Formats: sequence, structure tokens, C-alpha cells
Amino acid sequence: MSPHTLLVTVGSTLFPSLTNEILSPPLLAKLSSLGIQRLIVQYGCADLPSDLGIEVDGAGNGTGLIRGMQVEVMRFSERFEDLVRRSEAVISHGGSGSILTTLRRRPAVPLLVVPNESLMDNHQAELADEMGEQGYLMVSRVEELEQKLPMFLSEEWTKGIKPFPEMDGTRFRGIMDEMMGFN
Amino acid sequence: MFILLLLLGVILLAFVLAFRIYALLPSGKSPTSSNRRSTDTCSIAIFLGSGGHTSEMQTLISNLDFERYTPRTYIYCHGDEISLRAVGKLESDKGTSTKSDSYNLLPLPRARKVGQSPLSTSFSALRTILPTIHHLLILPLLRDPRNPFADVLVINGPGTCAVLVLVSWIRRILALPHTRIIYVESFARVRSLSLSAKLVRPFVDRFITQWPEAGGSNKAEYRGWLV
Repeated sequence: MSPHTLLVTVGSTLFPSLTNEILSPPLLAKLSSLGIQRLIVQYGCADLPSDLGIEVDGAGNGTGLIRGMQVEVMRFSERFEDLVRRSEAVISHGGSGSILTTLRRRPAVPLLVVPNESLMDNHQAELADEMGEQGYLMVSRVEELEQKLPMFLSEEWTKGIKPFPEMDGTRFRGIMDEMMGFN
Repeated sequence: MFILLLLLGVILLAFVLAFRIYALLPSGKSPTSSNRRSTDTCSIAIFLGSGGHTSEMQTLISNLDFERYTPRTYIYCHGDEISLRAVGKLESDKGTSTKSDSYNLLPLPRARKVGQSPLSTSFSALRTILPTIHHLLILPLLRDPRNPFADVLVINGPGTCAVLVLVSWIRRILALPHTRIIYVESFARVRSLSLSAKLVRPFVDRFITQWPEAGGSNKAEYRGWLV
């Protein structure tokens, strides 16, 4: 079954080229045609497109119906894990926290990372590329989104995701105990 | 003549100090501290650096045995509500096994905001250093000169953690029992180190990256993903 609920998140960053692209008429039409029924956009420090047609409250949150999709916009989210749990696919700016939270969700959901290329020291792109090469997620540039979305939201891709390992808590505990002389 | 002697003295002192620091630099072979029995405790200081640093640190620390690593001192920057909440969650998740007096909070002024210029950074670093010296050096000395503020300090950036390293080093230079320091580079660093990692690397006892190539040509200790 292809995903119905898509979360787009940029954390606390400013990444208008991603959020504006997702909320542009051609991309909204594309998402709707690919079976998305519910779109959640957590847009961070950016401004929403002025012609979006969704009223937002003082905190910058709002919902509306666009092309048959229920579109929910929010500036920030206190409960990112809950958002991820509610979603069946995630598009992220590639912060390590959002990558880890999404990849550890069970059952697994597809993750598409769009690194912010306007950042000067962009180590987030390195992380995304490496994780992409290892098969845990898909990487896209903003301009490639329209072209990559059908693949990303397809059943084949979702089925083929390599499961991300659970955290091995014994590693850090072992390092600390060893360092402090506990055997 | 007197001024010349004084000058000579200062230069000599600077040389001795530099040599002492050089001689004390951890060799990278990760020496372990003296053996502890499994029932012993170990006091720990944890720096919560805000944002992604805090959430990774929260994950790391959640793996520790809180009855062993006690008491815990959480150091964070003034006004960082998210780190404060992280402490609350860490401590409450460990549940009934811990008493409320087994941890304490130490807020410090932030040394460097992202994008701050070098000049204003050095100014605000000074504002961080003085209270840090007060809390991490002077108060513990008055309480009991034999014990440092914590047996071990865990850091993972950003900039302010360098101030903690600096102040911890004063006891080391004075040959007093000192705090051992471990730096864990972020999971987000795949092929390069962060600025704070490069800065503190020579001065920490354990320096760990979460990707094999993150340390560059100068290989760092790598034990797989820790978060």
C-alpha cells in the first residue's frame, strides 16, 4: 500500500526553498495524484507562500483542504516523534535528529532527505549521502523532487528499505565503564 | 635590572607551564583510570549543548547505569529550556531507582552563538569562563580539595564545552586529582570534524567519532554508532 500521510519537516531551520516547493501548485497536484491524502508541513523559520490559502493562527499553525488533500501547516513541533508516528512517509531537511527518529520508527517508513544547499558548511549533505548510499534513505535536491516523488512514494521503494539498526546501548556504556575503571 | 629579572621570570614560568601542559596531553592511547569495584560510584558532569547536541547527549546518557554514575551534574546554557526538559526526561525515565538529590543543575552563560564573530566570541567566552571557574574549580576546592567537581565530564559540542575543558585543565596542571574528559563527536559528522571537536581534541582523554572517516587522516577512536 502506498503512503497516504506525508510529513515534510525542516526542524528549527530556515529552508524556504523546500517548503515553498512542496506547497507550490505543481507539487501539491503531484502529491495528490500519487495518493497522498494528508500532508503535514512543519516549515520552521520560513514564511508560507502568500497564495497558499490556509489561515494560520498566532503560532503559525493551520489546516486547509487543497486538491482533495488535508494540508496541515505548523511552524514548529514540540512532539516530533508523534508526528513521525502519524506519518507514512517523511521528507526531511536532513538534521541528524530527524533522520534517526524517522529511521527508528516501527514499522519503518520511507525517508527522503533534501539537504539544504544554501548552508555554507554543509555536513548534513555528507550524512544524507552516506546514509543514502547505505540504502537507508533516498536523497534528492529540491529541483529533483517532482521527478523523484513517484519513485519515493511507490510500493517497491517502501518495501525495499534497508532496516536501520536499533541503538546498541552497550557501546557507550562500555566505553564509559572502561574509561572509568569498571570491569 | 629588576624589570629584566621579572621579565625573565615570567618567560621562564610560561615555558614551564607550556612544557607541563605538553607533558600532560593525553597520548591518545586512552589510558583508563584506576580500577573501581563494580559497586563503586563515579560522579559525572554532562554538558547539554542545545539542539542536536542535547538530543544526542540525552541518548548517550540514557544508556548509563545511574546508580553507578552518581551524582550527576547537568551543565547547560542559560535559558535553554529544551536542555532543561531533556534533564527532566532523562531523570524521570530512570524512574524510582534514583533519588532527587542524585543530580544537580548548573546553568552557564553561553560562550558562542552560531555565527558570532571571533572578537565578540572571545568577549562572551570570558563571561562564561568566570562563572565556570567559580563553580567547577573554586567551590569544589573549598568543599574538598581532593575531589574535582566530577570524576568524568562528557561533552559533544558546541563551543561552550571548550571552556569547560579549559577550566578542568587547571587542576590537571596543578597536579591535583582531576576530571577525566570524553568527547563524542556527533552522528552527523561523517567525513569532517566540527570546530569544537578540533579545538578540544588534544586536551580530552577520550575522543570518539561515530563514523570511521570523521577524524580525517588523524584517525580517531571509532566504535560504531552510539546513538
